[in-house]
Amino acid sequence: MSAPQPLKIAEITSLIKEILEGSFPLVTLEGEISNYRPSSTGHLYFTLKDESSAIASVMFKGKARYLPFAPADGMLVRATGSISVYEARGTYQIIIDRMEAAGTGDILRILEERKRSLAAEGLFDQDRKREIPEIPERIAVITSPTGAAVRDILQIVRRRNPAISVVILPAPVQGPEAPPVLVRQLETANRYHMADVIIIGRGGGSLEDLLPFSDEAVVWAVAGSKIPVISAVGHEIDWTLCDFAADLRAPTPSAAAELVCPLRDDLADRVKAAAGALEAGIESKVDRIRLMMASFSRESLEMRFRKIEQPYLLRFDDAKESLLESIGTRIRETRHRVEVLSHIIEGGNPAAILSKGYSIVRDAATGQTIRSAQDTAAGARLHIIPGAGTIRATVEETHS
Amino acid sequence: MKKIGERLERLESLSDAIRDPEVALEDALAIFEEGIKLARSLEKDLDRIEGKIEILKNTPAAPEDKPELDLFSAGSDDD
Repeated sequence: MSAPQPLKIAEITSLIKEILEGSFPLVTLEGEISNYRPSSTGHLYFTLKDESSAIASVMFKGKARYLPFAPADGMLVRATGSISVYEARGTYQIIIDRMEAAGTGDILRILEERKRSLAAEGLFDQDRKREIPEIPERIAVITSPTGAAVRDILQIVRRRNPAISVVILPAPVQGPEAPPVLVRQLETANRYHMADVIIIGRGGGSLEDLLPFSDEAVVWAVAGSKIPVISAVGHEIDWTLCDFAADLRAPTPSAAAELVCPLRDDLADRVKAAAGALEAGIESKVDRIRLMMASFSRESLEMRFRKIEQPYLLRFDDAKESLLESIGTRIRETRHRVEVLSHIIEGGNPAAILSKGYSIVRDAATGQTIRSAQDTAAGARLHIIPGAGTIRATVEETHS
Repeated sequence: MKKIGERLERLESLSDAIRDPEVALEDALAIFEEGIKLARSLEKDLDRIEGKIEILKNTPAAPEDKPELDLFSAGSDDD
């Protein structure tokens, strides 16, 4: 029995390559990353391992670019790719096309970490938040044009306020191709100022499905948007990092539309109320002026004039009266004095004395009044004038 | 034409202003005139304006490109 013909290394290697690569054109493995060595050219080299085994792994730059997370040693991943044999070294490896973090625990951990680091950059600060316009005229919606989200949003906008325009900026909303488009559409909306407010979001999905909305570049773009952004991803319970960077987080796309669309009827009511207030305002102004003018009517003017005039009239009356009174007093006093004087004068009238029985005796020759016995002598002729008539007499004798 | 929101805000500030008892009648009349005009035009616009639903068709790169918009139809409305 002759020894078998030895195979050349190249031959056996070629056979192994054929068998291996032919048998495993596409496999999905789950394992932990170890010995992670990203190359300067952008390719990622590492080992995937579990409790007992390990496999060399490579992810080339073209695919690695779309990784939704940064790989690191110890990370549990699910990798899909093909087995390839490297003949020069006689080793085999998996060339990975797609890789995602395996197990939500890991994704959440990554997100929490990213959230912390972005928060540390101040991306989620409250004072960065822009105000959502109360009455937008145009809303930009960055989402899939075929998804449930766009349909819900349009329905609600149409129902609440058909005056509002909507521009849809289409973007894939899951998978590695989503983040760059989301970022670009945010930039486009801002560059051409295409709306007063942006809604970015999608309908519900798995944690992995929502990952583009936690992509770092997307989060930065949301935070950097000059147009206010409402994040509306998934359902009430879902959260993404966009929610924190956005100016407002809506629990669902429908809720975002409700939040941003004022009801047309409400606006009409506000216009009516304001117009009513204007009319009432003018009326009350006119009423006030009318009221003010009422105090200038003829009657009230007269009344007011009377009020001013009254005290003067009173004073005048008082003065007149006191004048009259004092004049009366003076007249009475004067009259009294006249009376007194006339009495006195009357008392001095010789006739009055004569009527009381006195007589005036005059010398008949000289007419001199005889005031003493010495003024005459016996034989002298006298004129005696009593109260009535005259008497002629002759003096018989005198005594001193 | 200013935006509806801005005009509504202006209208509401006018309706506040006219209530101020310090405002003279001439000023109040001017406020009233502007406000009522604004209210009428807003009422008309609110009834009349139909928003457009459009979709961005291209990926414009500034400054030479402009966004290209097309009317968007979401397919059937009742699904």
